[in-house]
Amino acid sequence: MTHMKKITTIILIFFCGYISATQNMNLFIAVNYTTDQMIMEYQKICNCTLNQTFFNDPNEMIAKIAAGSSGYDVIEATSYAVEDLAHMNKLQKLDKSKIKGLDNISPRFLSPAYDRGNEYSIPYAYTPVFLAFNVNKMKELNIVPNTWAVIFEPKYLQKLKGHVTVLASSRNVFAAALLYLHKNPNTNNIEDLNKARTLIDNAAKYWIKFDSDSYSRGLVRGDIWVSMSYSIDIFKAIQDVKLNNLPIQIDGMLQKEGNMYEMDNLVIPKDAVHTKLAYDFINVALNPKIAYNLAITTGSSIPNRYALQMLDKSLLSNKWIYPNDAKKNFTFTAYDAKTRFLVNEMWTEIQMQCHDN
Amino acid sequence: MQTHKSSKLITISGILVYLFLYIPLIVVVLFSFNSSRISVSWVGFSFKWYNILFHDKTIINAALNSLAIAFISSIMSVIMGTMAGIALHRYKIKLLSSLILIPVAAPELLIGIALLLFFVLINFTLGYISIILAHIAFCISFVAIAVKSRMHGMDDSILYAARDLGAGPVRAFLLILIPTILPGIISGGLMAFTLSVDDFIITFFTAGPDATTLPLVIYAMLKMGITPEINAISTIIIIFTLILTTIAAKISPHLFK
Amino acid sequence: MQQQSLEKKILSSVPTIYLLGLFLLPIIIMIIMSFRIPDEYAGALPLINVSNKSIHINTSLDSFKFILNSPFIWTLCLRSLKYSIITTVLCLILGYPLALLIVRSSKKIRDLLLLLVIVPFWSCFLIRIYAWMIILSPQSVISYYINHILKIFGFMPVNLLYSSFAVILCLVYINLPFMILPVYANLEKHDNAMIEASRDLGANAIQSFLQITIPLSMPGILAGSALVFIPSIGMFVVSELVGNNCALMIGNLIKQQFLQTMNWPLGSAIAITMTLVVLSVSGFVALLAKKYGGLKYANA
Repeated sequence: MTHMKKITTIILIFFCGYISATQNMNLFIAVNYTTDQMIMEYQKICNCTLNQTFFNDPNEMIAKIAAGSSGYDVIEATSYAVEDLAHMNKLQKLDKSKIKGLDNISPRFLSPAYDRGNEYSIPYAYTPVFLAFNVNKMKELNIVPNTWAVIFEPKYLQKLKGHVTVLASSRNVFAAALLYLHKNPNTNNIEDLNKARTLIDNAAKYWIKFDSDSYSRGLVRGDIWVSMSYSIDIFKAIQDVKLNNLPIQIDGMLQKEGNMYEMDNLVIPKDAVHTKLAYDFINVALNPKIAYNLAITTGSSIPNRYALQMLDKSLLSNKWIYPNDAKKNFTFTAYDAKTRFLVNEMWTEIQMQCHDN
Repeated sequence: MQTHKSSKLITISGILVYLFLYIPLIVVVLFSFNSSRISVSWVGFSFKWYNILFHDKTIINAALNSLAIAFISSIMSVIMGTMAGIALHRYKIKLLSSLILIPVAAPELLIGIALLLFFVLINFTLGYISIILAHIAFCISFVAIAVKSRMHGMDDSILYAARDLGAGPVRAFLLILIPTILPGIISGGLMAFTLSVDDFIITFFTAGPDATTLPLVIYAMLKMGITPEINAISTIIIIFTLILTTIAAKISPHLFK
Repeated sequence: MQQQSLEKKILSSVPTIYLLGLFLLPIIIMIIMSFRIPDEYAGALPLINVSNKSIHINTSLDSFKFILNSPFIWTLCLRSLKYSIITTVLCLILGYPLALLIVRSSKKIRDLLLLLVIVPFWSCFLIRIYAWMIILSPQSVISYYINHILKIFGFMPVNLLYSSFAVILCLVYINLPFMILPVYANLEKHDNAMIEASRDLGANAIQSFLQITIPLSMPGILAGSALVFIPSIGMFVVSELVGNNCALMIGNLIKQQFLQTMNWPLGSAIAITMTLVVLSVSGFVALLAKKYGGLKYANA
């Protein structure tokens, strides 16, 4: 009996100790957006454990933070998310004296419209959104996916039915529809949004899934032929194909009506507990070597000019990673309150409806 | 003759249902030894997914977290569940007996979101503590039911005898009652442990940013599609469950009736 | 006597207080939440607004009105109801013979057979869904042969995974033990004399099964049905992992409202609507059973 007691006590102490042993820096970030090198380098510097929590869509992140979800020290926030979070008074004003290497960021990414003077946010990386596709299938079906019509017009969709996915992201799906309709992708105009909604509703029956998680695997397996995609997912999928010598060819392409790119930043929430660790992380992310590693291992597009100089030409000339037509590539801006509510409602209905009849 | 025929029918259909229950699990176990990465067809035998698994820090951390959470919440729920079980057996307490039924009768989703709202509204940071508090709550019920059913066949006269012989109420409780119902307590505790390790839905809603448990990691991996690594974890979990269930059944064969 | 009441107080108060705090209170909070007004980004406006002179209480019936006016929510509700009922019936059809087999087998193997039912019941249900993701995936052997046969007969290939078929199959699979165990527990208590008597009186096996065994096991069937039906209706993981847009259930909408859109008042209102549907269906079935099943034989 005493033996039992001893053992129990030891186990109990072990487990309790285990739970509260090391200091954690809590990072809230999109999936596949950090590298092992970054994590190792950071943990060496901070003497802490980097604990990542992942979100799939910026709206999901905003909603969680707004609802009082706390405990994060650094959040990765896309352009409009920075605006929204700042508006909610959830962000700390950054102390620039603690940030080293802000001038590593190429000037055109500094002081953006959504955060003048980089009061709250430091640019991290960006990911264009475009159509990725199965090269042979497109040849076979004689489709060139250089237009959003491929995922919106029955003319194309009839050939693709059941093999198309779009992102489970209201902003991206609405933006694609609005771009296709030659409207402002960030519009607050209800009439335009309704038109976009009708377009989406009519096309949705041809899409197999709203999917931000597993679509790239579908492309690799060959059962998805066209998907609305983030550049980093396609970069990874192409790497997978090469690594495993798979008999499939995947590529991406920008659309002639224009594309969005998610401009992602690092921010520190107001209730962050480990502020020092948070600044350490920002500084590691600004390090050109780390940014370079991020660019070549994840395919993220980076704004770090010194890292860009190190990059291979073949990567830099990839249009769907580094788009160069400023007139056709847009970032998101925040909706006003009324529009946000309306689009949320529309999105719930679009996602929850069965379009199969 | 007819009895013979009908019992044959029952045997055959019963065996078919067992196959239905087990073939999927066997497939999972088999494919954990498949060397192919993407394909779901058999390529060759290999231990590489176990090797990868044992080097995957996220998964190992999550598994340790799950075990720690289950350990603490099963101990706490054994204490409170035993109290509740004894109380329910001895006295008719309407409130407690209906509270005990909530986790059995209400959809888990409902409990999950109610707890989420509760923790957020009282400004309680979501994390390991909130998960443990939630797990204790639903585990209490299962321990209480196990203890109560163990006490069902028990003779209270031993207790009175002990009291007559001069044992104080606490002594009688600890030295007589607890040892008698110990099998019920242990198997209830094992059940609580397994339920806590396996719980996904309630954990999903009460976990904060800091907290990961094995089911949460498995869920995130499932959303990404099929990977052989999941087969390897699943195989380990199935074996783990098999052992715990067998022990629980050996200790208290009446637990499941 | 006094000691006993002290003991009663100590033993019952701790778990009661704990469960009141972690079950009843949260549920009450959720009920109140369904009448609150959603805030701009997430959560809800403060329930009580104290401005300099007046106290204003922010409540509304908007969430319930929205539910009433949204056909898609009712579609989801009806579909969840349909899937759960089909699941319950299939579990009964599959589970009953198995329970019968266990009861009629010899004492020695009975415990083993029972254990074999419990092992899958105790292992994480995510794994059990995953097993079917492998079996039904488009690349699997089964998919290949089914589509091969369909092709021979000139049908279009089907996708087994991501369909309502897959959702119901997985619901049945993860819930089956919940049906078997209560039915078994009930069958075990039956007195064989009753069946033998009916056989002596000239009933054949099927007659005595239909007229004696089934009605006698009604309490087990009902308990099992409740244990299958209730978790099925709130399940969101299955339809998320193996379903498509046409197989989404009410649980998916509730999860989305709580974790993505963060409209808590609406999410709570939908959850309450779902619970009311569950309660009324279970109540209705219990009433029917009482009227036609249990009473007749209880009195007999």
